Amino acid sequence: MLYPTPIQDLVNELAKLPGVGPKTAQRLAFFLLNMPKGEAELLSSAIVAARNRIRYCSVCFNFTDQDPCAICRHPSRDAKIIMVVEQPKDVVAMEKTREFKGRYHVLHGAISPMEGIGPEDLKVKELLGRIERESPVEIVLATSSNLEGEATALYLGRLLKPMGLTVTRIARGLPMGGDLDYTDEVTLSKALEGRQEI
Amino acid sequence: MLLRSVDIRQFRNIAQAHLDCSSQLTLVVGKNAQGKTNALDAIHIALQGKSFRNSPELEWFSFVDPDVIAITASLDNGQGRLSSIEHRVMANPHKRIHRGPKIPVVVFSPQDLALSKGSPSDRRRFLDQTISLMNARYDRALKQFQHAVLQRNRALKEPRLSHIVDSFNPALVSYGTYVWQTRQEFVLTLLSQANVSYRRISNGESLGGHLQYGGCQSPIASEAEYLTVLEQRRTDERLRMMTLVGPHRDDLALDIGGRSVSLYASQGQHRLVSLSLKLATFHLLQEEFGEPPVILLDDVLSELDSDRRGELLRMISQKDQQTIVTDTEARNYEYLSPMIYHVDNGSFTKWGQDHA
Repeated sequence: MLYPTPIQDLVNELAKLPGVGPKTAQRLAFFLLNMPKGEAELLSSAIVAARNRIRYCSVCFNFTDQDPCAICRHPSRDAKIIMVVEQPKDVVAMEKTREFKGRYHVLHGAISPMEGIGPEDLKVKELLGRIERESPVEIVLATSSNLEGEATALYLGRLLKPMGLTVTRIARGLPMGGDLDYTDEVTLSKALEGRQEI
Repeated sequence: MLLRSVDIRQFRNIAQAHLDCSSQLTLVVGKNAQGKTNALDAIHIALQGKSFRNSPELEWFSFVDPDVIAITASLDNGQGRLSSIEHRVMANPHKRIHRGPKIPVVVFSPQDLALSKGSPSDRRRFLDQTISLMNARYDRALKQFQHAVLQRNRALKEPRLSHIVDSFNPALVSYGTYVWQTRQEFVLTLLSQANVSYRRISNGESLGGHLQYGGCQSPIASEAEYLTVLEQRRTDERLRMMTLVGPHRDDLALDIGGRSVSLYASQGQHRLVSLSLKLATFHLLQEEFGEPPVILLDDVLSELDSDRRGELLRMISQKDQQTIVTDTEARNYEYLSPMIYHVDNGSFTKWGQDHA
């Protein structure tokens, strides 16, 4: 079945979104068409506004609408400690804990040779420049604990250690509430490695 | 656990089939290329979620209506409690659903010859598949390890990324060491069991062997040792642009009375060696799960002489042993009063209802 061109265009554009297949795209398109006109316009202008106003923070490379971003400008955030994360969403996740009072640096990815991503494709050079300018005392490596995240942390650790600052890696091991005998051997051995005195 | 029946829809040349399974022997008889092995493979997919022929999912689709494959199996826990397994594969968009438990199963097929005669990768696949049946963690660790090898190899191939190769070493080494330890442990029990079987079906010769650690002179016992060997091959790895040390290059080295199977075994010995490995697998699974695994026999009797045939037939005629066999004729099995299906061009008809 062929739709009038404007509908077909809308369906095609929606189908480009992650997790949206042709069927879902159709459903969304008809939902949008049945919406009150004002609401549909709110959505479209929200997309345009976000696209136009959001850019990278020139300091930490998180998404922001003002440069530098709110965290980098905040007077009570400790500039002496920088946490390195893969994605902007990781900043949000960490902020929800309200535990971390330092600042962030967003790499925008992790090392993955299979996808052709090396350190040069991440915001590593920018991190080095920042360390030179701001001379922090500690870098916290908070990349994911998957293969690529671990490799990235290891690479950065080797790179930063000689610069004479403390480089730490967030702990890996048992999840809170996790059962010991449901944990795989490799995770378990990492948890043992990272044991702490109580 | 008893397999009661299997329903197959749109799987390769089978448009639709319903097979009731005897609690002992079910026989699928037909001429060549009618769908016997397809039926057996469908049963394997129901029980294990994957093809025993290692055929990729895209080749599973029906020749006529390549849209949705549905295989369902009805199970009985032995005390009359019924449950079911459902396996569906959709063509567009490509999707797979598997609901239900995994049921231990051992397949005997002419392809088993590759265990003895084939390449190291054939033997590695056999080890991995069998260990995975008993240890779900192994499968996960193996996948992580293979992923690390792929990333590392890619980095070794690309000059621009060669400086990050070492960043994948810790993952390679920790998953790799676990894979090695698990394989080593399994190989020891497998071979002692296989030797028992081999002595019985050969004329008292002994079957030996060991796990040959990929890229190493001797077994690796710890992560530190792995790392040391990896360091030693550093220049070599950069030259050949791939990871040279690790379980991905293992082999299961076999010997008969001390003489290497891959170098010296005759065709007949290869057949006995592969059969012994499969018989050993059966016994190990039986021990692990406390009940005999389902046996699928794909046209193997025709390849064996009468002595070894007797060995297999003895095994499948045991009490509580559920077996599904394909053959071109029913003659060999009649004394076991099997449930018989005749297959002709992908459609199945039940024979001799009174046998059931």
